[in-house]
Amino acid sequence: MSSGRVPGRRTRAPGFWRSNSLTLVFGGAFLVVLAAQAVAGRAEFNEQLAVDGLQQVGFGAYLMSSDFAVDVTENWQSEFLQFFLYVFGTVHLVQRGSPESKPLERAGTESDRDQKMGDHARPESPRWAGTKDWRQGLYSRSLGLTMAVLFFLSWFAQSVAGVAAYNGQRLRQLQAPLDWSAYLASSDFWSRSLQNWQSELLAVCAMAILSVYLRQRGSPESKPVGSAHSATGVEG
Amino acid sequence: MSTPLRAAAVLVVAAFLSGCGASAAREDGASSSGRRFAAALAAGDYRAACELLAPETRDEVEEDAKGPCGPALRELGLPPSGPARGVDVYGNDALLRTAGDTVFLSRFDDGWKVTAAGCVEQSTDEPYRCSLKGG
Repeated sequence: MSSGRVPGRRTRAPGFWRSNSLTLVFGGAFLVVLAAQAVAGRAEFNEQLAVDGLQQVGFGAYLMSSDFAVDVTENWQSEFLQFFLYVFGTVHLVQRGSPESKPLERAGTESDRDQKMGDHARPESPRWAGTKDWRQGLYSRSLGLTMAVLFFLSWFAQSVAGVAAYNGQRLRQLQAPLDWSAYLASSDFWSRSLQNWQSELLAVCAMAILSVYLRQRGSPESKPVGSAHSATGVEG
Repeated sequence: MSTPLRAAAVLVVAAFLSGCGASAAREDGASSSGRRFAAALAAGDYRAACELLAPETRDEVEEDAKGPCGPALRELGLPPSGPARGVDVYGNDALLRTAGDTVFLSRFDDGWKVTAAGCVEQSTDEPYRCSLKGG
């Protein structure tokens, strides 16, 4: 079978769906899985209520409950923490042979020329990249900072939803509720946080080292299949 | 602010406000049931008080006494309630503190019901010790 381009036929630019398929597919899958989590979460919550001889909750009530909110936000915060640490960490930290890492000699924030900033900005560069004031400083860290802000917001949301869900459970066990500051020191808050953090850190560590030796043909997360194990910062 | 961002902001504020409103309604509902339970006990209307018990709590009272709820409740001699001192509500669960008693409640289709009463606080993480509670 021929795989070459047909002579004389112009290649059409990919349409909206094709151009944004990565975001759209993962965004759609996120919504489907979130809905599935709500269904499973409600069933589990109602099982606990049945054991206590209490009223079952409907699907709408569960969606608005602190129990659902804390289960969602505890995972969100850890994902944003992962990307925040990864984005900032990979400025200075390197892994020889990993496509997730820069070449070892380029560790650090690099020069304005390398980063196409200030006088080295190009006509197509984002406008703030070509400035020399606070806008450049902010824009040049905007990805990591946004991840950090989203992490702190979702971690705060976890704490607020968490104290309400935990206090509901304590009341069902005939225990006095805790206030927010006491909840921040509780085992429930830290258990929820740390169990998610450890899994995110394991995933980053595994990706950094496994991508040195293993390949995925066609994926930009992998080196080209034939690249040497020692090749660093090469994407497929 | 772009339209999607404005819509998201409106949704967040609406959810927050509806949450506050729902919370105030739940506090009123739990307090009202707690007060009616205390009033029924004070009036010696144990049948009405039994109607305000959660199903599992009522079953437990009858099982322990091996008899109907009303006389069993009278035998328990729950402390007089007194003025309300505060209510904590989380989801469908509530704790009502009065001058003379502490009562736990839970919300059912037909309103807030007492799950435990005659409760005395123990140390921080210990459950309250209650003379009336479900299994």
